[in-house]
Amino acid sequence: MQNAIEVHSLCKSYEGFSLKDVSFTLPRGAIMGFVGENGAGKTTTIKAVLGLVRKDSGEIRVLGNSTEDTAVRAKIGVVFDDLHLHKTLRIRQAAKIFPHLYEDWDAELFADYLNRFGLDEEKKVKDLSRGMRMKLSIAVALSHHPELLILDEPTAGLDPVVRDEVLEIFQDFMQDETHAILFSSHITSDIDKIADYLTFIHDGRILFSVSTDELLGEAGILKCTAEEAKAFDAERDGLLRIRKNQFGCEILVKNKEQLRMRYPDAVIDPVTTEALMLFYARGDKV
Amino acid sequence: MKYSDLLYMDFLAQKGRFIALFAGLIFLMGCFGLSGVYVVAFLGIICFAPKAVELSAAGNVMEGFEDFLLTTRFSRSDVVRARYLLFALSLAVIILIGTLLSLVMEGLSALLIPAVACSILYGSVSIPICCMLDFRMSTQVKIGLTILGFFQMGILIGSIWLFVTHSVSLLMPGYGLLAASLICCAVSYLVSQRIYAKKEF
Repeated sequence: MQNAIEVHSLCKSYEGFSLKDVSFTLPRGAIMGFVGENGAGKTTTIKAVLGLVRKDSGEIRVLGNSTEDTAVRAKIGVVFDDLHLHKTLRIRQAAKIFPHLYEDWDAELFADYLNRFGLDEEKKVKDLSRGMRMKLSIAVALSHHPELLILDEPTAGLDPVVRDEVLEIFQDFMQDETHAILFSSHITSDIDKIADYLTFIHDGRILFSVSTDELLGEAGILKCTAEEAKAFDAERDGLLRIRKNQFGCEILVKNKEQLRMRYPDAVIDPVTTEALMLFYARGDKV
Repeated sequence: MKYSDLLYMDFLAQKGRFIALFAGLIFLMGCFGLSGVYVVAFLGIICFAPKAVELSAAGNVMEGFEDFLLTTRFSRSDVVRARYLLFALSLAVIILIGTLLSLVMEGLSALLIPAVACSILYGSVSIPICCMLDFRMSTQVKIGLTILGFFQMGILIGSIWLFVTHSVSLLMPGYGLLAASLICCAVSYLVSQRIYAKKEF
């Protein structure tokens, strides 16, 4: 089965920022969390995948083809970090526009999502809260039976209850094993909940793109004092990054089980996506 | 045709603005008509026909709309075609009004061709600028385009005055100007397609 997204050696330069050799693959049937701090290159990468920015070099294939192909775009549902619709439109009026944008528009399904999200059809776009606008974006993205969802901060501005509901909807979407989701978010707990793959971008470079089972299952955080840290061998013990604080230091380790066998008394905690981000963004190399 | 869908969508989204634009122009025409200077009003309306493109959703009056549009079934080429189609439709409506008026106003038919040619020339400049800058268009650029509109109106009125008072035919009957404007419009379309194909969102 072809991959949903393949990005190979993508490069794009702007003044003061560039994407450098970005590569990752999202297989069908999987959700990929795309994380990185502000300005790391997430939105630029997503826009390059969607064909909204021109790449300098590299190759991008979406559902086996280029996104220049409008037939491919018809199979993609996109949620940006805000809803870009005319502010004076009521949701009811906007609903008349969507069938002109999407060939496979399902008005019943859209009405169902509006109902599910508690969106009042008579409300104008300008009167919707940020959370409501995101819900409307998600409803639009899902109502034309896409095969691939590309989501840029879809849960930003949503309260925990609605976020949970939205994540459930994404999981329902994944019941079809040919579907896939690329999901960028700062809310790393959302990524931890649903992502099968984690791609981390930092300063325009992909630091890793691996399965979350492999990464979060194997990696760990070693807690020790600065003195104790000297006893470990970075290469042999698989120490990746270190963060020092007034109480001691935390070290990101590649394989916590192997380290635990070697040092049974060592305090090693499980790692989360947020901790990984902090280690790579603010920590130092060991 | 996909781009006619885009225009229909544009109308649905912005019908209030379009109705306001045309109602405003007809009101102006009525006001000028009461004071006996229909010709000035008519020329004004024709000169500003391309403004419809600047007002339209296809002309991207709001930040982010094009990003969203280009993730749907519309290609960049469709968006440019829709803008020129909207321009052509605006002109067609105005030519129709002008032709009807010329039935009751003597001499107006002679103005129609040079006025339409000037409008096409204005659109040939303003639409590529819209393609390049869209919602990022600064106030200075908007003012510049408006001045350009008044400038072409001035040329038209001046040429009419010369034609009426001294029988000097600068723009009249204007077939040469119309042919030149159509060539400019074709070039403008190709330039807009090129600009839009390279545009980043």
